[in-house]
Amino acid sequence: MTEETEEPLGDVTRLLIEARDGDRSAFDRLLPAVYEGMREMADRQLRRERPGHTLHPTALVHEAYLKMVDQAKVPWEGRAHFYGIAARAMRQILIDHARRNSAEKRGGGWERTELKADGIGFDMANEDLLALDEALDRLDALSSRLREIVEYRFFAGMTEPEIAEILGVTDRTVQRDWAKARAWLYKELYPDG
Amino acid sequence: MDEDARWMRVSDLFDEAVDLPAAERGSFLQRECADEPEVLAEVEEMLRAHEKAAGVLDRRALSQVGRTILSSVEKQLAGGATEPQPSTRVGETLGPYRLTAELGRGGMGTVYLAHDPRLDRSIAIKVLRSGIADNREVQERFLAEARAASSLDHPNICTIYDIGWTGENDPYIAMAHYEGETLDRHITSGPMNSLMVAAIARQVASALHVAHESGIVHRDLKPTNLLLTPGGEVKMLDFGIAKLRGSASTWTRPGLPIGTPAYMSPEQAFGEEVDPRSDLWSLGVVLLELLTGQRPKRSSPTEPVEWEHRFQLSDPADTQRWIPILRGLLAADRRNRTATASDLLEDLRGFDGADATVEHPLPLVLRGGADVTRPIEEREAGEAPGSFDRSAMQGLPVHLTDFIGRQDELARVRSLLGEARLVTLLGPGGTGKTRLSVEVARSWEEETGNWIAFVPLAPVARAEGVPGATLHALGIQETTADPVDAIAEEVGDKPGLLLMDNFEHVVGAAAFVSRLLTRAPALRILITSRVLLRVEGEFAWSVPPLELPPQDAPVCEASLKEASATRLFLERARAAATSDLNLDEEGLTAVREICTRLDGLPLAIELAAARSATFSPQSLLKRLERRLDLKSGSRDRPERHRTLREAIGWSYELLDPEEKAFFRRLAAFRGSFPIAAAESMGLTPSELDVDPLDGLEVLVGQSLLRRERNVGGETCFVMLETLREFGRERLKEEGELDAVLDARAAYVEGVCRGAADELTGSNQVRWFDRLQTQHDTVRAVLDRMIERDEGPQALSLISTLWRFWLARGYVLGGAERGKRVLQLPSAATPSAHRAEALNGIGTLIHNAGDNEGARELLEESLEIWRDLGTPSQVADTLSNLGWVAAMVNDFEHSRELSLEALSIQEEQRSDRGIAVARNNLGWVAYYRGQASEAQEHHEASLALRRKIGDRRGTIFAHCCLGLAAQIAQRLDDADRHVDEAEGDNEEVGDRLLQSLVQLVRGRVALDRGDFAKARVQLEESLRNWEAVGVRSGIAWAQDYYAEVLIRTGRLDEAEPVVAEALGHWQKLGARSFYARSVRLRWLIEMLRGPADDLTRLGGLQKTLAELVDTFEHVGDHISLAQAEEMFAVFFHELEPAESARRIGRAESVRARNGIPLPLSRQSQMQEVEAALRARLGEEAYAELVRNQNDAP
Repeated sequence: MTEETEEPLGDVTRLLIEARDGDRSAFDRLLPAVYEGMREMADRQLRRERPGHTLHPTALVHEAYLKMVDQAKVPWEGRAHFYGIAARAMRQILIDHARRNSAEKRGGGWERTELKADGIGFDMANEDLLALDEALDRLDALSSRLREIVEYRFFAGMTEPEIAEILGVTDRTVQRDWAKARAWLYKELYPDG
Repeated sequence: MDEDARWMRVSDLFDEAVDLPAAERGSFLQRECADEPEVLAEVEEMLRAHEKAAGVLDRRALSQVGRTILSSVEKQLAGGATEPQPSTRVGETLGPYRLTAELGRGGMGTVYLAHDPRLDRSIAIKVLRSGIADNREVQERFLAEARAASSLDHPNICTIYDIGWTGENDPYIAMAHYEGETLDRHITSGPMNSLMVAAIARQVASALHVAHESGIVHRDLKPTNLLLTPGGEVKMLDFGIAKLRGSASTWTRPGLPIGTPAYMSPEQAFGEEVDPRSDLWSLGVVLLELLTGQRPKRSSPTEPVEWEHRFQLSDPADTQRWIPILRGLLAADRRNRTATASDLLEDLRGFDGADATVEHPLPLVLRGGADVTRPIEEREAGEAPGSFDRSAMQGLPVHLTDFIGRQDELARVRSLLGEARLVTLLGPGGTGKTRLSVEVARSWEEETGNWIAFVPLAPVARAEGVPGATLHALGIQETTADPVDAIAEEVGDKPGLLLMDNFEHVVGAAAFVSRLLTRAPALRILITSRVLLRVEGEFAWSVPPLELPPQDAPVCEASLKEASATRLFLERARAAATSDLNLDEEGLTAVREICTRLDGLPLAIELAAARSATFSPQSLLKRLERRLDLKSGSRDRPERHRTLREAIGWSYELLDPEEKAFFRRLAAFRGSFPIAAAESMGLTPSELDVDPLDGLEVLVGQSLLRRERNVGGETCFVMLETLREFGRERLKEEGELDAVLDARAAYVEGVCRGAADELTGSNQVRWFDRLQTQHDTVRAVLDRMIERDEGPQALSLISTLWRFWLARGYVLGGAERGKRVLQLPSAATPSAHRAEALNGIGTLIHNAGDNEGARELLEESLEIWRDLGTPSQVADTLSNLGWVAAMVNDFEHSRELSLEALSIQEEQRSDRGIAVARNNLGWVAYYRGQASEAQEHHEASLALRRKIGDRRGTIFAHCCLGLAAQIAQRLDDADRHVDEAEGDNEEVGDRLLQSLVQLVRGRVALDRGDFAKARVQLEESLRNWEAVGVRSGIAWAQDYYAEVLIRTGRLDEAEPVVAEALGHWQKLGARSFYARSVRLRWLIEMLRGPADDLTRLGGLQKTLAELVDTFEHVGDHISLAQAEEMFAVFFHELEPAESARRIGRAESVRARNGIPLPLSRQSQMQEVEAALRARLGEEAYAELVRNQNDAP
């Protein structure tokens, strides 16, 4: 299987190390690399599953970490970086799926792509998920930190202390911000309560 | 107030308010911001949302948000507000262990994957939840329990390595880490096969037995505590830990029963002391759940489970078997319950019959664990377009005799196959595995209507040959692609069954089977083998011998007919005997005794029954007894394997010496062989005094040989693998092996010599069939030549065989053998045979999609022909090389080669040679977008092909002319050529040509803007290319098809099609064609994203510039013009001047090469030009365009 050598395994580890060493461009290249890898995994996970099973975003992020990062080479802060990026990638993946689904619903679809829609469990919820995505973008305009915190908690399943560590703030701040972001999103998404 | 400032205000107010008691928030806000109504409203709204979000979420409010997000939201929101989640410890060390990942969280705590640096192994560590054991007494009890559990040494109990405490005094347990999934994950897939449930039950019972003997009760047996490894072993987790939780609970809230309600025994629910029987109750619930796929309902854990009235499995016999077992386990009053685990084991023993044992119970699907075997570049499931041609597949062998008995076995294996994806029928030779498997497959096919394919492996010499044999059975063309990929692609999501017969000598291919199952999820595999494959997901089933009649009952014909062993004997004996077989009681008793003596082995019984013409059952029995007793010594019951060998030996000894010699010589042939082959053995090495035809008749009569249905007009024979082995051993014993193998080689060389001239002539098909029949033997001969370094002989063979390999799709296997021959020291000398072989193998490799490899061989061939001074071969090889160069888009080199070929062919006055060279030149011109040159060459080629009466070539030339007309946008001319081609092909019926016709039609429709027609044509074309297995054709059709999709706005559909095409071009090494597909991918990206994101547009511009460079470099003018036009279309607003320049360049390229802009794109370009004119001013625009036009 020659394809395997092209897997961005080493890449992510290398980029993480370079990013830690201060290479800003390495940081920029991480997102596409991680996104690609995770999208593969997500597709695979969905394909492996029977209908009715769902994608487990948190598990996927952990899996991505285990598979894409050589843990012996990457120290703790590398892991933090990775999770931060994985959270963004995860958000992108879920939104992509939702978007594809709702596009298909509108366009009548074609038999080829419908099968994964079911597995991810957004079959009824595309519009709402897209709304969440848009709300997050609006939140970002108000405060990117709040947006980041939501991504970390939602899409990477990270705990408050972990997020605090990545953002370099106290746990208490994360707690407050999380409560605030959550309330704001809730109000945006469900204006009628 | 601007947005930022307002938000800061809202944010601060919210922070302060949220910390206040809810009742005080209103007045606080009134005080702070009564005069800022907007801010006040927003903060109030957020606070209301906060209350809702932090509390129990209203399911209905969120029901539109998908299930995943819902649970995620609930977990996160609830976690954030009420119960702080313990933070993950990943990255920490506990004792010597480094925690590397979180595996899961549960009520008891968190499980981590950890690394033990001392022993360098992965382990699992469970850290109990904070507070669960923060009491000294509880800690001690935990320690005691863990100690006891770790003392349990049993393969089905999770091994405990170590325990300890974290810095916060939470206890942790270090234990073995297993791949696999807990049973709850398996239950979701519906009822489990009854045999597998029995296998699981047996393992759990065995583990419970050991635990209970040691005085340990599990207390919380449930599916989530039972892990099934990919190897099929059950691992019981969390032994005794429930008690710890019990203690903790008791300590805080006395009297609360422990355990999980659904699996809790009534006594447990009543809070009584548990004992081993409580575990058995829980196991009963688990088994019931596994069998039915549903957790039994009951109103309260103190109630008994009502199950029996609804308990019905698909097989009534299974229902009856399970009822007493479950009744014993699920007795509400424990005094009436199955008392011990070993009692349960006893009950299970009777479950699945005496002999049919499940040796290797395994899970249903290949799941579990990280699946690292999958390559990252994987096609999306279910998107395989096109048809899966069932007619090309190898069907089941036809047995001319009835399938006797075995109805139970048939049903059993059939039902296993419903559940497991890999079933191995195990048993020594002669147990009837093959026959049973064929019948199972047949019934499976009838019931499901799905496809099946038969892969006979006996003739396959080495494990490496298995993938090729499998491709063949499936009717899939071999290519350089990974066979697993090829099969997965072909099979797609169409459920089907592969029957792989006689696997034992190629178990090295087990990994192939395993990968196949992983990659092709719709595939099931049934295997017959003497040994296990030992791969994930394998479910092995020992084929029992045939059923014997009861020994103590009086014999009568009816009772013998009821038992399958004796029935087989009677039917075969009746067929063999010339007179009527009238058996008295003595005779019937002898029959029963014979079958018993032969251990119910079908092959042995057939061999014995075949002698019924000569011997009565009584005298058969006497002879057999003598033989079996003689060898068995004092042992009272000979092993089956030995029995069979003795039966074969006995049958062999009854032959005349000549017949014996004939039989063992025939064992030299692998697979089928025709009478002529048998005759060659009758004459050499020493004259045999047996007429081959008589000899064959005798051996068939004695069941030592089978006659096959006529293959390709010839009667063929085949020897069962078990018998062939026996025969080969006799050959060795007699010291005849080498001489016989030499004779076999001489025979095969003769066949190939005969075929050499016929393979290109009108008898072609018959000769291909003839080689096909004996292919296994031919390959064996070739392998022996390679082994013995007989280069010249081997070269001579393959200089014929390659045509057969190419025609019948043995491309890869043929190329591989061919290369080995070419590398033989004794084959190194340049000779015509070597040059021919190089040319042939080079052609094979090219067809397999490896153009670079092909080029090497062809170049060596060319050199030899040049040295030998044979101009027409030189020219042919030059043409081949030219074609290969065109395929890798080395257009200039291709042109040079073809021109040289052309001039030699013209000197030689070879019309065919000239036509081929002209054709190649025409293709190069077409690829480069030189329309008139392409037309000229193809017209010349068409005239010559007509002249020599080459119909295929004529059709092909018409297609080429159609393509040349298409790029020149003479679309009506293109139509005319394709009409002619299609009309002619109706008679010839060539599928490859048909795909080409459809391709041209599709392209023409596309250029006209008739997308609906284009789509239909290209879909058909794609299907046909896939059926003939021509990778470049597939990719080509995919490109055009994707273009239709893109231009009709179906970007999401186009994307995977383009991705596939890219993969194909990459494998073919076609740079320019690859770039063409990249252009399509670019279009999709361009059309999909926001049109105002400048960074994005900048990146896209850069990619497009790179594409332009590539097209210019390889000289692909059509694509070059298109890419320049694309720039103008998408960037004319951003970069008007540059766009105008590029339009000018495109115009110039189009004019120079005679490739006008297609009709369907004209209006768009006109709009762009008009916009540019308006923007830049008429004159400036014209100036910019003209400058480029004038440029050289």
